[in-house]
Amino acid sequence: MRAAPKGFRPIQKGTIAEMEGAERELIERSKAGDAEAFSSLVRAHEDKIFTLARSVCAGLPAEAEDVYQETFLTAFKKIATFRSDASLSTWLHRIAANLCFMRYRKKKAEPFVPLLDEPHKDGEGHRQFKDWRLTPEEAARKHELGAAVTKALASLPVEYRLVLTLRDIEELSNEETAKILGISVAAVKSRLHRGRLYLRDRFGELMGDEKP
Amino acid sequence: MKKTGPMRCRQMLAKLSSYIDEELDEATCCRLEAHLADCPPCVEFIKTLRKTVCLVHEAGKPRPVPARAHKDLQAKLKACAAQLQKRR
Repeated sequence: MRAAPKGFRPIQKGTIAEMEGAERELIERSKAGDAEAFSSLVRAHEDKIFTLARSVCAGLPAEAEDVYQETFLTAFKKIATFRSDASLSTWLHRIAANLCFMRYRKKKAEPFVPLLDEPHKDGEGHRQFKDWRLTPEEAARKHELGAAVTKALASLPVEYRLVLTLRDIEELSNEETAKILGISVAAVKSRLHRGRLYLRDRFGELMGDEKP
Repeated sequence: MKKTGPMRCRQMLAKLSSYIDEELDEATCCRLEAHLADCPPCVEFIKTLRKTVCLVHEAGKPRPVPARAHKDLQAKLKACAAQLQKRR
């Protein structure tokens, strides 16, 4: 773990109320232009924001670092507009999601493969799905599997990558995800479902399913 | 009129994410499970969908921010604060 620079007051572990109080104080000091106070806020939230950036900028670490830095720079410049009764985490996630969206919205090259109408065809012999529990051999291929997941994620349009990242990686609720992305809960559920089905199909090839 | 019979494969597909996230109401869940009791391929499909979610989750496990990126950001924040100070 990095040591906190001199003069920094990191947010201490304590009750939720104490932590919220400490964060409010840091926000107010940041609003007054205190960069050190803002750095403490960066420390408290940077891992989550970097996880989001890394997943959405799948396989492009330099872009993920850009999004991470731009998120906090934008937040610092706009902290005066942050409403004190709002959640700082949600606000930071929204900034990061917008930056990802702006970065990838023009890249329409990724074809989004049409989804299945049915999980399997009746009659004419069912498609065989291999058991996807990791065998010891597959566990040894964990790194390879991770790279394949990154590649599959990268082939999804950014709107889907954002939803999958917030729901299945950061484990946020449908409501929190909708708030961050400025879309309805129904749209979150629909993108999550379609995105998962698409990835399931891609992983099927990887895990050795028979072709339909 | 509310549907009560077991679902067909096609109807079930639309509900799968909500099912594995445990977001379905009890009645829909019962209809879906009634279908699963008689449809082993759909049971397998659900297993692989669950596995998909696990693989995505595993691949996205948090890693620390690279020290260089963190250091760059601190330098940019200091420069930005100095600029904002000048404007005040």
